[in-house]
Formats: sequence, C-alpha cells, structure tokens
Amino acid sequence: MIRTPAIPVLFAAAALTLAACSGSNTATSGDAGEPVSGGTLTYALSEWPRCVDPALRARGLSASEHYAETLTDQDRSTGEVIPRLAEHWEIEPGAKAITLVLREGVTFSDGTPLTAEVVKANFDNLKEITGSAKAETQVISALNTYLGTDVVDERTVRVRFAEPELGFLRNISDPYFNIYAPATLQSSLEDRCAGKTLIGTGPFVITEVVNQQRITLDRRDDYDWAPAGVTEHNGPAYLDRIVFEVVPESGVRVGGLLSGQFDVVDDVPVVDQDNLVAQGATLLTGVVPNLVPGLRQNPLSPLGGDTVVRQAIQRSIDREEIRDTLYNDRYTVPTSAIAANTPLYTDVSEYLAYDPDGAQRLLADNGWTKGPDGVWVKDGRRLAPKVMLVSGSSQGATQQELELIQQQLKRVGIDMQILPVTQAEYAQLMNNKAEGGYDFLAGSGPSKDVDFLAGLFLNTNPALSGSLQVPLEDAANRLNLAATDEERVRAAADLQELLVRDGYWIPVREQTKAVGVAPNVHGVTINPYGATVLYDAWITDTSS
Amino acid sequence: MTGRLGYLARRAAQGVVVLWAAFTLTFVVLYLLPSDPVEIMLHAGGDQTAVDPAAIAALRAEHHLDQPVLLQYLYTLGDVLRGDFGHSVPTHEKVTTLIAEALPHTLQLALFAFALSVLSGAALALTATYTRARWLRQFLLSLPPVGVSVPTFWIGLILLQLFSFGTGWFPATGNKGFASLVLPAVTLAVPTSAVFAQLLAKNLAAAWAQPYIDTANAKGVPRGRILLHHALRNAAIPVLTIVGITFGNLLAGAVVVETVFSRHGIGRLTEQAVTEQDIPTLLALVVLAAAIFVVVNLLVDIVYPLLDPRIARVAPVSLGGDAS
Repeated sequence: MIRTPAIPVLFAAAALTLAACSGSNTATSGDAGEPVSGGTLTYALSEWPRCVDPALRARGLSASEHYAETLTDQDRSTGEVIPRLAEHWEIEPGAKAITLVLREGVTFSDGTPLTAEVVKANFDNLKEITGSAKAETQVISALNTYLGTDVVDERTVRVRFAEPELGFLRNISDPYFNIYAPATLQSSLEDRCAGKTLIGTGPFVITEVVNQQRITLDRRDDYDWAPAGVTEHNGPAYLDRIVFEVVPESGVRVGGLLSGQFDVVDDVPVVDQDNLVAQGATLLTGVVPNLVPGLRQNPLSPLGGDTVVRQAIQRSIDREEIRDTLYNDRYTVPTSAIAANTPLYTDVSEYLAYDPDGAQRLLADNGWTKGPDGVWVKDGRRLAPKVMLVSGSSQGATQQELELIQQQLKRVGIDMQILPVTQAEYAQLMNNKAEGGYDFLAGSGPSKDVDFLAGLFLNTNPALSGSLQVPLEDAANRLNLAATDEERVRAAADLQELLVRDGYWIPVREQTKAVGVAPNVHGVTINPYGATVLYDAWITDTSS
Repeated sequence: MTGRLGYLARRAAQGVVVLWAAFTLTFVVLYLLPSDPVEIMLHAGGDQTAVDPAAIAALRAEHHLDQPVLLQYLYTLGDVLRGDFGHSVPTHEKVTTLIAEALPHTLQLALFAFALSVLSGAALALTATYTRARWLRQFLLSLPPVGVSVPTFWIGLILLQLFSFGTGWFPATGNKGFASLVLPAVTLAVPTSAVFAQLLAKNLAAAWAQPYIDTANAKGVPRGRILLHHALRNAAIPVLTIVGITFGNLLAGAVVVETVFSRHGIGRLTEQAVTEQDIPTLLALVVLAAAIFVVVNLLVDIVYPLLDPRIARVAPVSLGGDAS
C-alpha cells in the first residue's frame, strides 16, 4: 500500500484566482519608495547558455547588457534606434557607409578606454568569426557585405559595405554586437564561449563563471554612461551582486521563488502563473521579437509546395483556441509572420482569421474532393501533411500545439501527421527535401531586424534550398536590396503579407517569456529582446 | 598468495576487455544513428538559418568526419588510449575537462547516497529481524517495496517541498557544500536502500532458521549478539554481490536527482549529451560508466574473502566461466 501524504503539492496547484493585474513588460512590484543600494540578487535560469558570449550562438542568458554594451539601443516605446556607446551617427547617401561617433569617457572594466580603434577591432574580429561557422547567424547576415572600418579620429569610425545596409544601425543594437575590450578579442573563442574573458563596459562585471552552474556579476562602481531615455537612473547599479544559477526544474524555480531562495526566476510555467501572482510575486511577460514559432513548408513536397493546401491550413488553425487552451490571457496571438514588437512589423491578421468554411471552399474550388473517411483527396493523394518537429525543442511550434492543431485540422478534413525527429534526422530530412520525407516543419527564426527575414526566405536558406518560388524570392530580394527607408518599409510589409497570405509561414503563437519576480524586488524590466534587465533593480530588506 | 594476485590480474584484464567492448559497441551504435555532428552543431533546435558550405567542410575535416568509418574508429580509439576524448560537439570544450568538472560532484553524491542506503537498509533489516513485535516487523518489511516503486523525482519534489520550501532547512539547489548534498543524497538513497533492506531481511530470515542459531540460542548468547555475529555475516554475502550493480544504479539515478536539485554532475552532463547527440561526450561517459562498474566489482571481489574466509580458499568462479 502506498500512502499518499496529505501535504500541499505546489507543482500541480494552479490556484483559480482572478488576478487581473500583471502581464506588462516594464512593471515593478508596486510603489515601494526610494530605491536602496546593496544586496545580492539570485536569478534562477532554466538552462545554461550554450555560449555566454552572444556573438557565439548564445541562447538563454538574460541580457548580456549587464556586463557588455552595444553601440546603439532601441527606444522602449517607439522602437526607434537611439544612442548607447555611439553618441551620434550619419548614414551616407546610398547607405553603403555609416559614420559613428563614440561617447566620451567610457572605459572597459579592465580600465582600457573605448576608442575608435577598439570598435574597428571588434567589427573586424566579428567578421573573422563569421568565417569559422561558430558565429551567431545574425552576425553573419549583418556583416555579409562588410568591407571594413576606417578610423577617422580617436572617437570616429566609418564602416563601409559593398551593398546598402540600412539595417546596420539596428543590428548593432543587438547583443551579438557587444563591444569588448582588446583583451577579449585576443582570447580564444572557447574562453569567450565559456564567459571567462568577456570584458565589457556594462554596469556589472563577470567575476565568476562555474560551467553549467552559475555566473556571478559584481557591480562596477565607476559606471556612469547609462543610455538616456532607457533606464530609470544613471550611475552605478543598485545591486551589489547578481548570481545567475541554473535550475532546470520549473517546479523548483517557482517553489524557490515563493520560499525566498530566488529573487527572479525565468520561464514560469503557465500552470504556476496564477498561483505565483496570488502569493504576491510579480509576473513580467515579454514577447520575443522574431519570426514567430510556426510551420514552414517543404517547398519540394507535393503538399508543402501547394499554395492552396497552405492557405487552407492557414485558415483552419484556431490560434485563439491554442492561446486559451495551452496558455492564458497574458499571452498574445500572432498577427503576422513576425512578432508585433519586431521593428517594421505589419498587421496582416486578416489572413490569420479562423475560417474553416473558407478553407473547405478553397479546397473544393481547387479540385479536392472528400474521400470516404472524410479526408480531402486530389489525384489520388490524401490531404495528410507530415509535420516534423525536433522532439523536446521549444524553438518552434511545440508538440502540444501541434497536437491541438491536428485536432483543429481534422475538423476540416485535413489529416495532419506529427513526425517527432531528432536533431540529426531533422537535418537529414531537410537536406533531402525532394524525397518528401516531410511536408512542413516546426520552427522559428531569430530576428530583431526584419533584414534577417530576407535571409530566412531567400532560397539560400537550407529550408528552401533547391526550390525556386518566384514571388517569394522576389519579395525577399526586394527587402534585402532596399536602398532607402521607404523602400525598406514597403518591402518588409509586402513580404509579411505574402508570407502569411500564401502560407509560406504558418504562425502558431508569439514567443513569450514569463519571468517571476519576488515581492521584495523592484525595478526589474524586460528589454526589447524579451530579456530581463536588472540595472534599475533593487531589493527591499524583508529579513527573509 | 600468488594465486590470489593472479586472480586479481585476470579480473583486471577482463575489466580492460569490458572497457574496450563498451567503447566499440557505443561507437558502432552512435555511428549507426542517422546523425551528422556538423549539422547538429550548426542547427540547434529548429533554427532556420543558413551556413557557408566551406565552413561545413572545415568542421567536418576537424572532426575526421570526411574519413571512412574504420579510420574514424581507429582515430578515435587511438585518441582515447592517449586519454584524449576530443571536444564536445555543441560547446567545443574538451570532453575530459567537462567530465573532470562534473565527476567530483556526482561521486560525492553517489558515495554519500551509497553510505546512507547501506546504513538505512541494514538498520531496517536488522530491526525487522530483531524485533519481537509482529506489527513492527510487518510494517518495516512493507517499506522496501514502497521505496522501490515510488518514482525518484517525486520523492525529490516532496522532500524539497517539506524541507526546503516549507522549513528552509536545506537549500533547494546547487552544489553548495554539505547542506545542499543532504536532500539529493536521501532521494537517491531511497530506492537502493530499499533493495538492500529487502535482500538483507530475506537472508537474515533464512539464516535465522539455521541450526547454528538454535545452538547459539541454547548456549544463551544474547539475541542481538546472535544477530550481528552469526546471522549477519552469512546473510551479508549475497547483498555484497548486488552492491556493484547498485552503485551503477546510483549513477543512473543521478540523471533525475541532479536535474530536480539543479546540481551539476555526470547525470546532467549525460542528459545534455544525449539530447544534443554529443557523440564524443557520450562515448567518454559510457567508457567512464564501464570503468566505474569494473572498479566497483573488483573491489567487491576483494572484500568477499574478508567476510567469509572460505571464499578465498576455493578457486573463484570467474565471469568468463573457465574454472581452472
């Protein structure tokens, strides 16, 4: 006989509270008075970043801006590019050269000053890394036409490109373009990846890295160059120390937050969110700007290559049901191929409305007939698309989401098959896409600047290689080669419309980070990347 | 005594064969997987990105992947013999460094859990045999099946809820000294101590029915002394045999326990290596696990004669089965 202990098991308890608050992305835990300096903040991460240096395929570490900064930044409300380490800039006509003037008085934590030479060395170094296939792909895309940097004077650099690069100013606001001290650039990629040699200009300094366990950051007392209009204060940070700790089990993160062992925790599961808010913690949510998690066609398979099929699937997915069933109203439904907070986003939700009747009409009008089992058939082929996903990956549409979509499509007469594969099988099926091993794949694409969208939909992308879909190729190329801002805005809008209308991308949800903050922690913010920023954060002493 | 040394030498040689076989089998299995480490390196979890083919070729050459299988095998075997297990696929770190970082944490955990399970298992079995209260014996003897059947992660979460989140006696996470070792070790020890307790209690019961116990009783030897000096010595030998296997189970259990308690160690490393299909790391972990099995079993072989001198005098029966 197994006796079930009658103790509250917090992990399953989703308290039904009608908490109407929370869900904003810059909120603090109420009005707690004047910020006080001091204290250590313990931050529970759900996983160890693949690399601590964002330029080298980093995933998972919150906001590298704690220890390293970028040349530009992004206005939190308008999304406009604003100064950070660069004070101002000028784009030459034709957009093939950009002159940047650096802020004065900035030093790295090892004491070396920020100069034009250092910035040039950083760009050259990044370009060199892109050749080694170890760089983050966005860096590769951002620097693919980079020719070189000229040092004009001590504080001025001129960056030259072979093609117009209107997205560059925004690209250099990404953490991939953190500016490091010369010592970092001379260290090995392994050491940078492990976080041992990252020397930046941020308000904190990395003082300890224990692989797979924790990263400790200590405050820099001489920090005095917070970007104007982004932070709530200037000068040194309030916290003495931040300890990032890896806690893979979500129940332990939530329990640890509620029992005071952690101050901030990443990835709060949906079932625990109401409970957490009910117990006084704050829940911050941040939409990650990207190509939203969704489905992408296999352009060479009969079903994935058929526009009518893709459009029918696009209309047969009830995205609100997905949100309400698997998430809650802190989450948003996608309204384009990219998240709503991505710069140059366009609302194309008219093509994303749930319209099962329209989908069936569309299929019937294009020669599909219902077979005896209720599934559409055309030329002897059943409408049974195979959708592959990497088991356990949370990058794309998840298994749960696909299972719900499978039910939704069934109502319309589409017999979707879910094909869980390993990373290796995924790559193999993708490389042999003409064999039709899959019709759609679950994925997403990192992107803060829509420039990157072009790279995701040109047929140089491995998911599309070997295909030529003229309208898509044209639309992506127009965005890629835009030489003026007007052209760029229009091309971005056109591409988004095409992607969604013709189902080149089938959005499922907006990727949203949910961060739990203990009641005595204030001033935690989420940056435009969906990452947590602790520069303004402070802790009230509750002697807990 | 030379016979004894020769016996140990033979067992050690067998151990080396076991290691080689484990390595080769793992290599073959991993090679048969539809896997391309370079693809894994470049496309993590469904990322939709493009990579330069020249860079792919360079990575392929760096990992000997452009060579025929047999050559790849020989290269890898040669490297392993020199103690070089190569670099982890996703992180580029040296596999030996990764393991050296993780192993001490897991060994601490496993040894502590092992000690706990031996002590608690023995205590339970001895109390159950010693007591004259029927209800207490029944109750104690019903515990091991429960211990074995309750999932480890559940025990872990319950312990966390009670002793960390609830009372704050122990930290919930991390490798922070002895306090952070207690809950994970207890969690890990529950199933193994249950196995020990069950087996020992059964053997004690069997020994208790032997005539020499009656003799001792008749001579007026106290009940406790009979238990510890007469019955336990005989009953302990079968338990010792499963110790080797159990220690391996502790390592396997570390995968779950280290995840629940956010401890870095071999278990977490294994879990990551499997999910990311990190072949060099997996290969090294399999060889490590095999080595631990070999060493523990060797130790068990050495301990047998200490418990029962008769074992040393009889020609030992080896795993291979030649009874010369």
